Amino acid sequence: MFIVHALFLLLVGVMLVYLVRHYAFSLSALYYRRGQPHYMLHSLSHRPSVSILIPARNEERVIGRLLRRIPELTYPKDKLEVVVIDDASSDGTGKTAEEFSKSYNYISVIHRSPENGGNGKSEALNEGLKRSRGEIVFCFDSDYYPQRDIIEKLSAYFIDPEVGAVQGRVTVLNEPASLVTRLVALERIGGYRVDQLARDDLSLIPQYGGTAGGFRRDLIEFLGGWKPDMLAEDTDLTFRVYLAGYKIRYVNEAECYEEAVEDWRSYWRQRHRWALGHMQCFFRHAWSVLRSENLRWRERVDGLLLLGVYFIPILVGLSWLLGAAIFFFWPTLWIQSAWALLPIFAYCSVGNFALFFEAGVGAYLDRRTRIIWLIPLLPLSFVFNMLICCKALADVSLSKIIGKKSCSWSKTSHNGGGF
Amino acid sequence: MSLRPQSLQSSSFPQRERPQLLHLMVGVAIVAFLAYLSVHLFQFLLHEALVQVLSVGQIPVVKLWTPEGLMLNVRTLVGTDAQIALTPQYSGLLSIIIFSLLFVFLTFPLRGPLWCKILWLSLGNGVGLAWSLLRLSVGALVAYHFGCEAFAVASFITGPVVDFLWTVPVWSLGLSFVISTERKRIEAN
Repeated sequence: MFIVHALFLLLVGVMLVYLVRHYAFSLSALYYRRGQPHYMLHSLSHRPSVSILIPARNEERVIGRLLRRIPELTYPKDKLEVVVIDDASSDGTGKTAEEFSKSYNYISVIHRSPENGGNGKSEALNEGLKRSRGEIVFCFDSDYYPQRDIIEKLSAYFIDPEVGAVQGRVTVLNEPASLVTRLVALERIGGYRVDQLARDDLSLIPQYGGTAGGFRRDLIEFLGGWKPDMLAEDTDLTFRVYLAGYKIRYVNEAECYEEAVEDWRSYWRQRHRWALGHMQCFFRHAWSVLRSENLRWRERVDGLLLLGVYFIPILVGLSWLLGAAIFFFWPTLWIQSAWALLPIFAYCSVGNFALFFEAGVGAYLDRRTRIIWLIPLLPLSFVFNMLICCKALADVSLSKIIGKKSCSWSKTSHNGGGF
Repeated sequence: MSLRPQSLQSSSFPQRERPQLLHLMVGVAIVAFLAYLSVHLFQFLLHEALVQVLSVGQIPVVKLWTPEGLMLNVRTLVGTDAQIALTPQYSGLLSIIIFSLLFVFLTFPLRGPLWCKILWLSLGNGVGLAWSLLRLSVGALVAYHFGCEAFAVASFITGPVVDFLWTVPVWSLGLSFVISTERKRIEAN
């Protein structure tokens, strides 16, 4: 009985830590800003050569939209290079990219054959990295749609030699499409407008999100590029950058628009991959983060909390079960009080799944009124994420036991919505 | 439905907010007052209202005042007595206090008219009390039909669900109302 009580208390304690963390992030986003330097001042003197890598596999519906946007970017074209990596597409992706490369000399296309390609985004990006030359290497997913001046805004931060990577803000493009896209939009608002910005302001660990961000070429080459065996190659790189002694800056003003998944099936596939990838990263980096001399103690704590974020829905579920067992079999006054608090803890401990504090504050800061009405629906995605994370944990555990690859890369399909 | 990409610049305000400390202090004072009322008035009101509701449903109940606090004696269908204690967590008053604290610390420091914030805080407390009455009535009804153990199960299930159902929606609606009122005020000026 004592062990059950102790375990329950421990779980409530972990949730409380996340609660405080996200409450602190919300307050930081509202009332504290370290002050990001205005990008134009830097960009006048600091305009490094830039390569944009666009990995694309069967993206004919969206690749044209991004490539039409590229010539509209305001970054000097003599310092810009765009490399489209057609990753063994079976549709017209390569053909569309070729047409653009004929019209614009700074756009080039790499075609990967079905024998060599199609093994995931990391391999495609590594191929692109080998064939590009820019000092700064950006990555854009083909369903993304950047602001015209996004490169200036992002690359300005590389004037600081400690900055190894930058990340821009991701906003949902097809928000009105369905309930799922609206909820994802709310999650993104909480995740970027509040969570990422607060982590940048508080000098913690802003996360490289896999797209709408970039790296110093020498750093990414030193790190050995993207790891093909990692499902969350972005989180993996985030920690490798920090462990190498560099930092990542989040630039809230640099916005890029994404096409969010539109149905629950796609949502499941995408989040399952993210959960698996995060768990892989946890097992790969948690110990190194704890011991790293390149990280300050608060970065270590934030790093661990960030790595553990996809375990939280599982822990919340476990604490519900334990709470129920204690409530019925060993009822005490304190457990009844703790049970009353649990729903609120549960709501606030879901990390990247957008917490109602963060989502609400983010929407407030964006002056969005009506989207806040959807916050009561977030438990839907939370419960869904609970199932996803349980499945991901089972997959990771099974792969550890039998020594097999836990999951192969599953691509999110895009249909060009949002315009 | 469609969005024009050129207009997709979010309306984020780059400058930091200034917390409305005066509003916060007023809010904290109101919450302290509401918490005081919860202990000294709302609990009795709930107790009385519950007895009235159950009497309307012809469920035999007796009010009890014990050293542990307010209690309700429900005569079950099988003839036994089920005693329900109106503790802060069973009665839902704890949830109301938590809601009030969350609302005060999250919403009162934001820009927006004070009257609007007080209105939504009061509305939230009203809604919370109504939900608590509903939850206790359901619990007592279950106790009447199935006994005291069933009441524990019912309150275990309805407690967190009920809290989910009212705290966050009221908070988010209140926040939305505060933002739109502030926006209208700015536009009017």
